[in-house]
Amino acid sequence: MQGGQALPPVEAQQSDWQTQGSQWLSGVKDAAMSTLATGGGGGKKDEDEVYSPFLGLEKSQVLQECRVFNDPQLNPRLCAQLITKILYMLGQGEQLSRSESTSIFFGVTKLFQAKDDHLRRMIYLVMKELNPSAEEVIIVTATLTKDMNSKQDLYRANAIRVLCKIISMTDPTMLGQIERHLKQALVDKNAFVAASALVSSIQLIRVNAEVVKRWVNEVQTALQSDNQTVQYHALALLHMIKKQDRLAVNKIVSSLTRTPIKSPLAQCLLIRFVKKVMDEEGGGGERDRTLLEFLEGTLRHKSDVVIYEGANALCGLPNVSQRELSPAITVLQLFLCSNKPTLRFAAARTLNRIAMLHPAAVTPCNMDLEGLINDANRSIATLAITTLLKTGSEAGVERLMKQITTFMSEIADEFKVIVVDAIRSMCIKFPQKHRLLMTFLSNMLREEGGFTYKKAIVDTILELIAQIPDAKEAGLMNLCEFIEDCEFTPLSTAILAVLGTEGPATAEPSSYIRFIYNRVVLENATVRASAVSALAKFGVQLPQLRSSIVTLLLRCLHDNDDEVRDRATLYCSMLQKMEVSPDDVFGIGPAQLCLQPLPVPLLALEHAVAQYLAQPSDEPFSVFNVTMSAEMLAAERKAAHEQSAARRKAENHDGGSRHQMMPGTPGKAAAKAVDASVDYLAKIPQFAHVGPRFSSSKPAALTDPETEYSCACIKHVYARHTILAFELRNTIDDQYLQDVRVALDLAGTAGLEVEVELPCPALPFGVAGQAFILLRRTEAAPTGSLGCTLRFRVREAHAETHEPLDSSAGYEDEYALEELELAAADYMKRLMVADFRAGWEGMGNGGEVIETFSLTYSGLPEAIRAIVDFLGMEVCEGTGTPQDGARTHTVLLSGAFLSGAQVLAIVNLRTESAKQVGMRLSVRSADKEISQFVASCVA
Amino acid sequence: MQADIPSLSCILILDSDGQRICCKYYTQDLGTTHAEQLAFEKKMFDKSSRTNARSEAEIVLFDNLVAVYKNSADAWFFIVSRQNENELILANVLTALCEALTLSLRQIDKRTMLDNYESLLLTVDELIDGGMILETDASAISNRVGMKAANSEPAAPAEGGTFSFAFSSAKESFARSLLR
Repeated sequence: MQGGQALPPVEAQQSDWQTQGSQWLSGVKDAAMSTLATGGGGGKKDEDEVYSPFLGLEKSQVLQECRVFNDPQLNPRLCAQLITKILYMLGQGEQLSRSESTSIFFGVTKLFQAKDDHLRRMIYLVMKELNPSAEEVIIVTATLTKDMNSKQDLYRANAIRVLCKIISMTDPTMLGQIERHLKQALVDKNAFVAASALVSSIQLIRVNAEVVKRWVNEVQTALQSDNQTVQYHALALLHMIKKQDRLAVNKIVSSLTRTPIKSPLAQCLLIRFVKKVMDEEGGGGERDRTLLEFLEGTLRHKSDVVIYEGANALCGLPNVSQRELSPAITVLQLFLCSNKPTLRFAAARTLNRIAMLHPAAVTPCNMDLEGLINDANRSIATLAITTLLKTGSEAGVERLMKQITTFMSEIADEFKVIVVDAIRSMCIKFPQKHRLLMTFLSNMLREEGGFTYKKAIVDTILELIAQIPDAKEAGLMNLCEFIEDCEFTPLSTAILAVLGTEGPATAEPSSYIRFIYNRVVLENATVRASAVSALAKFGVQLPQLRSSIVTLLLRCLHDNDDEVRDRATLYCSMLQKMEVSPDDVFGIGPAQLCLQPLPVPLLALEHAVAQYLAQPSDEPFSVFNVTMSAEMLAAERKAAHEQSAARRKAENHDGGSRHQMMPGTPGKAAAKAVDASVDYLAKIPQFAHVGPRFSSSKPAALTDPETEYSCACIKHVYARHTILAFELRNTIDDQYLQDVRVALDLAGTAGLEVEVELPCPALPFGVAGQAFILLRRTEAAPTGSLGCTLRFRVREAHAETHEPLDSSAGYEDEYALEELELAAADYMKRLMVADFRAGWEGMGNGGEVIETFSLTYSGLPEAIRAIVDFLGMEVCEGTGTPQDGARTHTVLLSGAFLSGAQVLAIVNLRTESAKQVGMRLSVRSADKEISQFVASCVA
Repeated sequence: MQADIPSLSCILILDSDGQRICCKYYTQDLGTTHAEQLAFEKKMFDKSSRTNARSEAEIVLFDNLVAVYKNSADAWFFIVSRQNENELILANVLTALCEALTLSLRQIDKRTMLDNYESLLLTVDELIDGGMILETDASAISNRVGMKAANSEPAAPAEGGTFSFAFSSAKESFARSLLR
């Protein structure tokens, strides 16, 4: 027993040598023996055994040998060996054809007549592996059922497992035939038999829930068993039977929390159920005291497994408070010092997860976590580091970074990426420390590393540049130095693109030109092309540098790559023209061409250009005439959604911790992608005249979830129009809907006219569809509720393929929807202002409107959320969350109204009583009418 | 697979070159074809083979999976599950597997396991059923593998494995009382 304490390095090495030594020795021995075996012409089994009993095993030979199964004088030992060979072969990935598998299966069934225990056990095992077909199963069902009633406990248990497995794989309806026997087995005196029956039932409930649910009494009896394993499986099965019924689950859970359960595994299971019940109660109401006390009680259990499960559950409770956490943190802290890597890992992982939400609660463990930085297990060390990065105080950053520097050189790239991510969130938390962290990042950039690692660093620097204005110049400089010696083309091009957009706005833009031009001289064609584009961006934005940049670009005209030459030629002529007169290319100004993405997706542009070439006209081609069909729009939307989903998946990647770690950062980018696809809406030919989009609302549900048809509406507001986009879903599997449209009742709201309607042509079951309505506003900003009705033609559909039946002509039908609200917030766009006070003072009180209200909300946070929603404005200067326990709070809001006018608002809130919040709303804008309109939305 | 019930994705037993001795997959997500499975095993082995997992089970987190593993002579044992599974339960399963094999085979290395391949297969089969933990009591598993008795009622003889386990748990609780 050497493993008393974590091994000191020397000893660890020594034992590594020992391992290697012994491995080498055995390798040599094996080699020598195998040469002996082959040298001796080892056809016979006994000689083969010296190296591997399965050396030179061939499928055809094994299949031949299977004839012994049919021998009238069975040799049990030989048969068992043969089954082992078959299983080994299957385990090594050998595939059996259907007929081969059938012949083996039939052979094996003959062996049931042998009375040998060991052989019988092997028969059971091989039957599970052979995946017999339904017809073959019938042959063995009788035999296995006989075994299920055998006096031998071992036969009974194994026969149950085999038969249930075969039934659940082939024909679950056969369960009825053996139901009687299984029910008996559930309460068998013998623990193995009962456990086997219970586990098999858990497998069966997935394929034939109805029958298994009838056994609830037997399962409850089994739960009282003295045997720990039986108890565990009975609890698992009972929960599966009852899990649809929340009340019943609550009852089981609360009764079991009072009676102690012996089995640690069952205890873990119970903790999970308790946690689930508490999750479902939600964070809003009171917590169930007894359940919470039960969880705290598990922390004193004698088994580590249970303690950890309990601590983990406590840490994962919704809206967990610091006081509720502290006992869990204390036991996890003890785990951190354990000599078992699994315990240390478990504790570090949970602490890491909780560190983002409650850094203060984890701080007491910081000393222990620092001790783990040098842990031999790199997973643990990385978890410790990232936890420390999350909990660390501003003062401790320097010391921590020093420790990490030594650590970074020792770990693999994948761990480095995690650490870089943690540094990113830390830097956003402590913007003042950006200089130190930026230096650290640039040092890491210089070291050796793979693409993903370098990409993570570059992404982090780019993010810091975007988030922390002070860090911009240093960050750009670091990136410039990096591309001087960067072997990854994608990174170089990404950095060059950023330099082109960000560089001209810095204090000394000319300093970047040298770095960029160096790339033109030294790099491959792709990088050269991006460098040329970056140079052009400087030229477009900075008139004072334009002539020198033209000089540089002229040198690129003789580049040997087409793309570089083309770009250089285009930009050269563009910049030279700019000197003379600001002319347009395709109707787009040079600045827009260089700095903004194309107003239409490439797919639509390609389509439009092809069409133009097919039917050339005298009118010059303009990118603004490009239109999109609805299908193209749908494809674009789908791509955007997939992209955002992929991103979200990537964020959830490690431990579910990262998506909490960086709220909004990559998520924002994903939202942007979806947003951009909405802009293409105006490219549908029918909507082409609406102009640029002003704002879009959040989706508003017009049906309850889980109704026959579901419908949600997004309002897109344009200068004089509103597009209502309805997201439709049909949840009835035997209906196929056609011509689905939403009929609006505009009688109650003045100033709206339906201009265009695009119904959804077909809405099969389970596929999302879209319908649109284009409304023209004759008044500036009509508000009110619109009655909505879903109208469609129903055709019967095939229940499985969901295709419409030809026999069904269908009939018209309608379905009432909830009213759609047009609120003032729809005409408001969230807009961040840099300096609220200056904006407020600068606006003057000419267009100011002040109103006071008394609102019915039980707390400040709730009131703030509602008001921000009502007004549809952006919260400025982080005033969105009041301090804990504060009775008054001021929120600063800013937005842009439909006409583009800036609107600012100050909201003073005061708690008046438990249910009342007093509010004083001051709105300023250039136009008093607008201010009045905005102030009236709250009323 | 039901999320509540502790379950495994696979059990891998590899030799010191990362070659398969016995592997059992319980879910589809690690690869359904033989090639995919071999690729996964290689990845798993590359991640772990340089660590020292002789005295205590080691652990690694990757690709949304958590794997607990142990090395004995020239054999490596891996218990793999989804990453949100309680790793200590997995460690218990690993301990049960190694102890049951020790009880059945006396020693565990590649040769012994290949020579007694049927015992190895049966041990895995008695330990896990369809990804769920069937039994974690090593002596019960070993008895059932040998078709001796269905239960472990006659208390397991005081063999080295169980004694060392008792000793280490005593030591642990002593260490903990010191820390308090």
